[in-house]
Amino acid sequence: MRHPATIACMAICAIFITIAALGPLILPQDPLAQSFISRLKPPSAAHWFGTDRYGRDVFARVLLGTRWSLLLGLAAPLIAGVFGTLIGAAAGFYGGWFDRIAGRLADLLMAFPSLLLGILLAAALGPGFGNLIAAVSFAFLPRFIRVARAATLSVREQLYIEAAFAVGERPIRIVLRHVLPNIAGPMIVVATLWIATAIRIEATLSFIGLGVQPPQPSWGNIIRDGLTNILGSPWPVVTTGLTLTLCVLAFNIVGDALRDAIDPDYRE
Amino acid sequence: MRTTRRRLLGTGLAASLPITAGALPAFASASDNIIRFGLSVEKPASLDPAFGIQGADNTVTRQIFDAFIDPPYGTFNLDPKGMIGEAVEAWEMAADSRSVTLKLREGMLFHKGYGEVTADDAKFTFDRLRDPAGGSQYRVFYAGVEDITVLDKYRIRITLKRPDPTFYATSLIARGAMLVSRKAVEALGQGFRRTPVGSGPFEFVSYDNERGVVLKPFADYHGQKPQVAGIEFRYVPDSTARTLGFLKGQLDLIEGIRLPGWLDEVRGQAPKAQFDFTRPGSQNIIAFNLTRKPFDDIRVRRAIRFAIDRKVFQQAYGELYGDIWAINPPEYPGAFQKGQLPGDLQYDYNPTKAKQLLAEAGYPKGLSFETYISQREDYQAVMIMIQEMLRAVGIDMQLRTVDHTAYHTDNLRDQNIFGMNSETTAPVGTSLLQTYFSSANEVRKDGKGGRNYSHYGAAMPGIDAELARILDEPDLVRRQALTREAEVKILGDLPAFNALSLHWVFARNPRLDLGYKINASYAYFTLARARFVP
Repeated sequence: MRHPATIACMAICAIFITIAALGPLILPQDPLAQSFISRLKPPSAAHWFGTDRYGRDVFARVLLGTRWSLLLGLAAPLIAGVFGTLIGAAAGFYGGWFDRIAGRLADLLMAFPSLLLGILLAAALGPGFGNLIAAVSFAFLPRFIRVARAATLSVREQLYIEAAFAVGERPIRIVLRHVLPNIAGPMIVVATLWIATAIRIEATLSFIGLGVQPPQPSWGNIIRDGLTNILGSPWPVVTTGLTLTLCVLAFNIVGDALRDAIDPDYRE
Repeated sequence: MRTTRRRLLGTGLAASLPITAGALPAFASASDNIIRFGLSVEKPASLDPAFGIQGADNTVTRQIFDAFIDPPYGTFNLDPKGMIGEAVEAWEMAADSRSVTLKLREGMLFHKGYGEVTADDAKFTFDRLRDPAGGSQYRVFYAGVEDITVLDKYRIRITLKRPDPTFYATSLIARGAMLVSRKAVEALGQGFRRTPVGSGPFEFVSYDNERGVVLKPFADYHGQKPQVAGIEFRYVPDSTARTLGFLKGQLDLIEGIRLPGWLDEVRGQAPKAQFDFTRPGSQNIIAFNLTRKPFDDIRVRRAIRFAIDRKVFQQAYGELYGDIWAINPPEYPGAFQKGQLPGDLQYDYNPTKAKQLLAEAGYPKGLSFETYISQREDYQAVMIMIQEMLRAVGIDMQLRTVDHTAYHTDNLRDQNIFGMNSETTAPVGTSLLQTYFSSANEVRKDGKGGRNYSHYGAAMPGIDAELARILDEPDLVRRQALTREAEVKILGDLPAFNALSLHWVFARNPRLDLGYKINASYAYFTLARARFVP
């Protein structure tokens, strides 16, 4: 965690999170305001990332888009993490029919790549950000179930669990007090690793029109809008693409570092 | 999951780096002499000309079927003496405009061995168009037909309920009125929509996702034989892919992208590319659903109209833009020109008045509504501009984007509350009125209604009486005056409005010669005379 690249990426993540949290308060211009006199302009002092075909300031749109991207990036792993951990822990702890059903369901869903599953679900639910969160969270769910179940199976064999049974604690209490706290570490690592993937999926789904709806900007729909005019004005695509890359890379490197720090298998 | 930083870096860069066009285009004649035409929709909806619901379908069917008559190609010149006979060798309107007699060409054949074209097929074509239960979008143009009589093997007479001197222009030209084979329709049933059989210059070969619709020249075509070896209609809804396909020389002809800046950009990249414009182009009619709140309130409707700024469209679209003052575009004979409408009915941009009307309607802090819009770029761009104009007066219009075919299908099922329809009609003053404002053409939940999406004439008194008077009037000049009166009533009631006129634009390989120049047209045109030149 003390590696300079990791510290730099943590700082980048902190900046993105700050931008997302402050949102409209720090926008240099109205990201929705159109001005056809200044459409498709290259970067300048007035428009750092240039303007799009409606004359909207791309920098302001990227800043506001950060909010949507990070909201999904954090919400989807969080929701999938909470439900996946509960289901996986219950499956691992109780075993039996519930374990078999949860396991097969997770296997079935794991057969689909997260992006494909996200697209299928988002298309079925229809466009909109709420539906997007639901779709991506569900697409992530089996990954969390699998990890939580495996971690629970390992924890369940520990002596303190046997001791808890021996003193007559109820199973639900054992899960809540002893199992969940002990599998929290790996679950947090998994969640962190999937933040970057969620941001990427959000951009992809918004790119194909299933995510954030106009006029609200998200990185995906800014890139999509920019593609039509890419021959004459590549700036919206390039600047937003680089922002997306930087964010995904930073969250991945932080996720890697967190995993290295917590999981002994990955420690060098 | 073992995730390496290198892999992530590679993935991230690949995801973010734009795909650029690469080298400038090198237009060439197609080595296989096949025209590749890039269409802007996902897939065909219906290749039966009576039931097409999107312009791209008409582009295909126009090549497969013969019109009865058509204006000189590339024009909307409706002078009866200059009309081209496709399926007919002669036609005559009675002096009292109460009937029209069509004489088919003798010896014309249908594709795929469906035999000779006869008067029975012609009658069948019109009968299914006018069938009230048939569900054709065009039936409103045949409501005035009283009877169709087969006179002999090649002649039919269409008798009208009342004089209609414009019947030939609304109802006999290449729109819905394209000649179908009775035998084929009856044999194929619903399958006719996927495997159409016509008598036109090209016949249907196949449809698949990769090559789209494939047509080949019809060997027994009665007219001048096509000079190309075929046409492939590729379905490329993504505007960037379509543009790049054109610039790379993979597509010879594409539906242009009516977006701010697109035309200049392609001109910059491909100075030799040809552009065909249809003027006045499509009329962008936006309908308020009068059966739903808040659009049952005239004050809200007028507020929205006053919030729309024509200058924004003009700036955005430049040479593609055309002003609209009433319902019919000023290019139509007898249509309103700038400054001819009384006061408020001009609906000049007035945000203050818009806010005042909203306050009077009980929305002093503005209002919010959700509507859906087609993914097709021209639909979306207009609505995004309107969305921003409405935001300025406190109206939050939330857009939900859906696929273009689904958009039209849902609109025809009365699902939308503020839907836009982009449509080109021949320059006949009654066409838009009959289509969007006649109660006979009211939209229905079962999808078998028409394009009166506002329910005007049903949800509130409309212009049915005025339309009847217009259609009863044999004198063209008096018709135009009555049409203007009906337009004034529509502008007062405001069940829908024509937001702007937007010329269609097609980008064309300069080696592809259409055989005529396009000045005016529907959003589709015949490729019967097209050829590649060295």
